[in-house]
Amino acid sequence: MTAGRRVRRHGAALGAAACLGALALVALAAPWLAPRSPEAVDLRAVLRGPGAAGWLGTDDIGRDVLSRLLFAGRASLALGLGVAVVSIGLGGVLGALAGYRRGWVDTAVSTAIDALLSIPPLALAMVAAAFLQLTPWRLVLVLAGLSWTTVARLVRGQVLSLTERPFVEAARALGAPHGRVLARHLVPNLLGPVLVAGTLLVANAILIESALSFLGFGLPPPTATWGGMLHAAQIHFAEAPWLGIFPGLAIVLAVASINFLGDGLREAFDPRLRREAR
Amino acid sequence: MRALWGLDRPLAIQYGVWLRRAVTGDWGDSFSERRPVLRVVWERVPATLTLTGAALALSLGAGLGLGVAGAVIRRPAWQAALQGLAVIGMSVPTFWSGMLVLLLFSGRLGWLPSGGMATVGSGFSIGDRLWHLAGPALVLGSVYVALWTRYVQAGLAEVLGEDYVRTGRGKGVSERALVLRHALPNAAIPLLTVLGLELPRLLAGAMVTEVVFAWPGLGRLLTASLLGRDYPVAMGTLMLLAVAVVAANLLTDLAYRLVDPRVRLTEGPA
Repeated sequence: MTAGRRVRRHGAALGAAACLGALALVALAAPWLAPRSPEAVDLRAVLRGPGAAGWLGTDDIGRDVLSRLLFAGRASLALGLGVAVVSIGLGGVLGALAGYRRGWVDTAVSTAIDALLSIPPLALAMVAAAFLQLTPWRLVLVLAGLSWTTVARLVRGQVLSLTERPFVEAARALGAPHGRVLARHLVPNLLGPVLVAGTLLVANAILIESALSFLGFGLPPPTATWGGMLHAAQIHFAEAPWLGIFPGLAIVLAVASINFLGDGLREAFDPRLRREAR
Repeated sequence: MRALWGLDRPLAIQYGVWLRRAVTGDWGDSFSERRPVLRVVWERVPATLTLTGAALALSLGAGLGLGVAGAVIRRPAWQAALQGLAVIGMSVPTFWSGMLVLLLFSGRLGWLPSGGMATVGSGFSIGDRLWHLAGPALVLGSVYVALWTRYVQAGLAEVLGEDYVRTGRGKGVSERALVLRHALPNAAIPLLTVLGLELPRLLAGAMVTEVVFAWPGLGRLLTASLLGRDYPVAMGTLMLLAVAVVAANLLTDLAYRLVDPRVRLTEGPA
């Protein structure tokens, strides 16, 4: 790989990171940046296009689209991040247990993973959302309950192969307790791959949450997410396309940035892939 | 009525009863349609199969073509662009691209129908069905074009460096036959693996696409049954989706055998 190409590759990841940082900042600063309250109804300015009534127009009860978009971004990004963190915790612990203890623990965890993988996660999430009174925390738990399998599989595989390596064997032979082997010898080797998987999990969680909200199974109002805005945009989409265009663009921007960043991280952590990718 | 359907009992017991009957093939009756769930769900299978099949065929066709072209041309810029496109393809939600396609091609230009599987009031015709299929299949398929391309190209690039390819070249096999007949089947193996792994996501994408395009498949059935609290139908749909994924995984494993004769389906001494 030439130096120029490497810079360009990293350029994409760096650009994505910058874009993501900007999105996160904007989401954090939403209360100060939003021109109006996201809930403020103005029935004199209904379904106005981008322009005088607001940079991105107003919706069918006169709420400012830009303000709603900013606050929805807060919810969408926070949910995505929350799902990734809980998934990593759950998947990391279960995967490490399965890989390290083996035996029946491994069998149980692997069976659970296979069972979950056989149903499209979106369908399961829809059923769970329909049965539960959704709160943000419950939504995070439901989505994490469906996506921990990727982390668990990854960690299990890594731990299985790492425990066969001489340095782990040496540590065990020197009398290191299990906890120490895990913390000092296994965890450091797992950080890179788990970080990459976690990044991609955030992107996937945002997509699944959006799809769920789009189908009408998202968080109850007044909480707005990007997917929820798209759900509401459907009715008036033909007359008021801005209602659907901007939330969709926000999803694509956020998810694509995270995915580009994840791709960059993967290459940075995995020199083998760098060769294969050519 | 609650007692008749067992709705007064705890959820866990209801589930237990449902499960015991489901394994024997009795999936209960739909609350809203008063018909056996199995029949209600089964009616939607052809629509979903048609959509996912068409999307797969479109994206695989495009992906194979572009992948072969990319492996033969070997331009770094093309590869970078491809990687970028693959990432973007996975980042665009189908419900959004579907909404945009509907707005543009159905609303503004009038080239495509606004949804459904057939023109109301007209009999079945292949042309009409394809016309209705075009929008959703393109939207769903476009997600995967760049991804397949990437795998075909990476696989081909690796295989084209192998000894047997050099041997073939040495004995005068044409470049065309070399790539298509000798290298491509071997390069297709990693593609099959991803294909199997992507299936649940493809189905999920199809479900959402169905809702946008009012395509009467399993995704619309699941959405409608959950919103209408027709739980037997929802459970039945979920069950069928799980069976479909398992069956598709089995088919993927069988396809390995087809592509790679070295794979044996039964374990035994090599």
